[in-house]
Amino acid sequence: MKKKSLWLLGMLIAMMLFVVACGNDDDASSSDGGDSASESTDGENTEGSEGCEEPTTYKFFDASKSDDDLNTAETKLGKMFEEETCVNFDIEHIVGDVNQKIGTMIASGEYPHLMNAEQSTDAVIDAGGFVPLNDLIEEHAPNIKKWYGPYLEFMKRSDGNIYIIPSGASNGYIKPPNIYQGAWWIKRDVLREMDYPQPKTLDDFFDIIEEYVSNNPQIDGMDTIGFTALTDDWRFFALSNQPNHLAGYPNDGGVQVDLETHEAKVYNNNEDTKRWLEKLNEVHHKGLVDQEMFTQNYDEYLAKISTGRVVGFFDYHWQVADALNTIREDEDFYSEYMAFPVVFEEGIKDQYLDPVGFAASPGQGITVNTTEEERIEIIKFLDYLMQEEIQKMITWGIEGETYSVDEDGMFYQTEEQFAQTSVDSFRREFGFRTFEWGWPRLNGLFDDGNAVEARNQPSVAQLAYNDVDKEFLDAYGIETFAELFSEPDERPWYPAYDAPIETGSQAQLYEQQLDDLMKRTYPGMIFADEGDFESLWNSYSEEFEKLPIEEFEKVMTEYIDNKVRVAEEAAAAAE
Amino acid sequence: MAQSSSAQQTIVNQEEKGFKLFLKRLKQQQALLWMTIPFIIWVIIFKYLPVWGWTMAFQDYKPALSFSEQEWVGFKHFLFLFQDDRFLGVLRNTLAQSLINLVLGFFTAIGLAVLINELTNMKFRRTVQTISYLPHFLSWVVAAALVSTVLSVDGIVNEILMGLGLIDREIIWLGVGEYFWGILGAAEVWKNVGWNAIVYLAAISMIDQEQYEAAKIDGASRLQRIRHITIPGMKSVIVVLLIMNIGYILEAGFEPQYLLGNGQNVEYSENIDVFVIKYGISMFNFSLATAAGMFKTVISFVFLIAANSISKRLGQGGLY
Repeated sequence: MKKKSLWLLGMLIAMMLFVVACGNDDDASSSDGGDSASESTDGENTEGSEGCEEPTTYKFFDASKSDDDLNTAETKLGKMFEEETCVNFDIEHIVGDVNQKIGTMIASGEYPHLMNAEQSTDAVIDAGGFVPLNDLIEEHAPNIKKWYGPYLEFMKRSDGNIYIIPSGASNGYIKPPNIYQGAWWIKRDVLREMDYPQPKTLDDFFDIIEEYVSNNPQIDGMDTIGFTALTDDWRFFALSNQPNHLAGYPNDGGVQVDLETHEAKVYNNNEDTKRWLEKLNEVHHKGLVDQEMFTQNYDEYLAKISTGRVVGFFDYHWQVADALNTIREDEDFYSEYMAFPVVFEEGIKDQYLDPVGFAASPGQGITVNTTEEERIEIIKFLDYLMQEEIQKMITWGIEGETYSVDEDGMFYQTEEQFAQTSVDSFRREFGFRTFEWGWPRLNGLFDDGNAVEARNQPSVAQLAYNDVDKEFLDAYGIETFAELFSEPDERPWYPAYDAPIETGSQAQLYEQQLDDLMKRTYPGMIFADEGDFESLWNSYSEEFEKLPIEEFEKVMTEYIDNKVRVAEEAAAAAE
Repeated sequence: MAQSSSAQQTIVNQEEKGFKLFLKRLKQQQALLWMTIPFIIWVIIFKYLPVWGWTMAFQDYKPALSFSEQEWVGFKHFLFLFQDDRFLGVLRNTLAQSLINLVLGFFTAIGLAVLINELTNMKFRRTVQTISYLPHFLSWVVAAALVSTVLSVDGIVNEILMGLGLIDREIIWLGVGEYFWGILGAAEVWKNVGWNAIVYLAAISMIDQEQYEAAKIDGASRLQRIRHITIPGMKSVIVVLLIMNIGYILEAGFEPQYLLGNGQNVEYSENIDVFVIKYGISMFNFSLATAAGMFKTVISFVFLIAANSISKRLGQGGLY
């Protein structure tokens, strides 16, 4: 009997130990973000003149792109920066939904040291996750202060604090040679076959598609798809922004802003949206619209485009870049797509090219999970990047290796250098891919007149055009593909999609409810049977008008007014 | 008088006896009781302490603030839930999806278990069983991609139906809201039927083989044996599982609805969990998410107790 109870006691203790051990495990892993960081920063004392034997590693969570995780020191640039600053970063990229990931961080209060929270930035600020950077920039970041100087006021939140440093401080304007933003794209094969027509209006655009589809019901044995669109999850705006662009407005995010009064108006129930939906409904009846438009996901959409089955679509270049690059790498140059600035009717000035603007969000913020010393060290690193010569390294590379300089001081690339820097694996190893966007950076021009980005330098852009590119440039009588597009008007508030929307506000609710409403009703209207469109449109606009529109417009208008005021003050001060 | 007092005396004695008996039992079984302690601690830590978080549902919860600084708003978030036009639809979807899953899941799993049990070739039996439960180990992300590929315009389902001449145009299966519940039910069955059948197979294997032999001698056919021996033998397991599953009636699942849902079928695909993700977690409205969670718990409780008492009344015995 005694033996037995002793045995049981032993079991019990073993079990207790097991439970306790598990508990400890939990502790250790859950505070991973914080503890391991402070451990690694213990080596900080070695910082200083004696070179860099033990670099400090910080964690940087980047929700703005999904890519392979890496340490910056694994790249050539990152290694050079590490030797100079004794700092490197473990970069973790987003997998899955940004809001959910950041929401979990907020709920647990566990942040990396440096973070780009993408569309959840406001929520992190509201939750007190970022530290104010005003003093840090003032005291430790002369270069950031210099280049971001004109924008520091924009970067301030309503409480007067700066929490994040966005990428891209504009310094002069250079018209990009190619289209990196929104446009209506048509497959080159189609244009060639139809003797290079130039669609100017939405009707032209669909006329071309209609004619081509009726002559070529199949491409490479697959049914031709006249027109498709990206509607997957948060990328739905690639569809819903279309009427705004057609009416001659830039991508201002859910509102049309009057150039004179600066009043922001939603456009989801106005004539522009109706006209566009009606047109899509009309071409649906001609069999030109992809039936899977609303059920395909992002990958399926990209796959469709890269197979060359699609005649035309609207999208932002950065969303379809993967598909377009695939086509180019396959050297299937006639399956590439050419961009056109399509509007509702002639006379509307297109605004597809981004105006000189400053997006104050998203950007990098230092989180509360840092000590005072760590914050200084991080801001010093960010400031180090903003030195002009470092900026040149980030975008152009190393002189003699990845670019050359002519006697006038203008940068250019030899064909060899160009070929080398065009390869993705090289861009990765070198660190272009890591640093070219997302970190503090200039936009536009350097003071010596060179483009910040190599691809925007006229000589490099010409180098990038192959024979097929030139065939199309010649056919349309242009030097660069962007020449078809109008110059952007001055819009000091651009981009308005940047407006901070407070968590839990009616404006936030509006955005979510609108998103749901559009996703629910747009398919029905576009695929409506003949004669049904009008009644569907009416019930949609009725439902739309029930949303808290006014609150949303108020937030946007206030934001725009404020930005305009700050810009005017800055201009006045400059004079 | 004397009689009644003596009667009282005996009652007290009996009570003492009862209590003593309890103590005696306690002592006898103390080893077992000690062994349960870690699990009771586990339950308290992981199941009862988090209930404290329910306070969030009555606040405008902001993660940065401490508990005392939170703003209390009463039933605001519950009101938002119940006043939203779509919540009724969402609730309907949740219940419908769940019921379809429950009924389909039950019959197919029991059916499969009985059929597998009737197989006499062991090799074939094992193969069937393995194949049928393998999809259970796929993550829904993969499974949903498979489902949407199968159902796409040039997918196998459309090709077969076209080939048989049953339809004259491809159907965008995921683009028609009315089909969603059926697709979901079928996908759930495909994914889980083998796995769910395992527990019934175990129940069947507990049935005394002599009963079958006796029935065979009495001339019962195969179908009769299934009907009068196999199914009654599984009854208690079926009832317990049914009660437990009814407790989860509002847990219609999240991943398949989220992954297969799109704008065209949202009126049939959006259930409570998807709604909570959209209006709670994604909008950083943790209070709303908590309120919805509380609502689910309360409803589940009601269902569980009801199912339990009904089963007791039917003489099947309950969970407790």
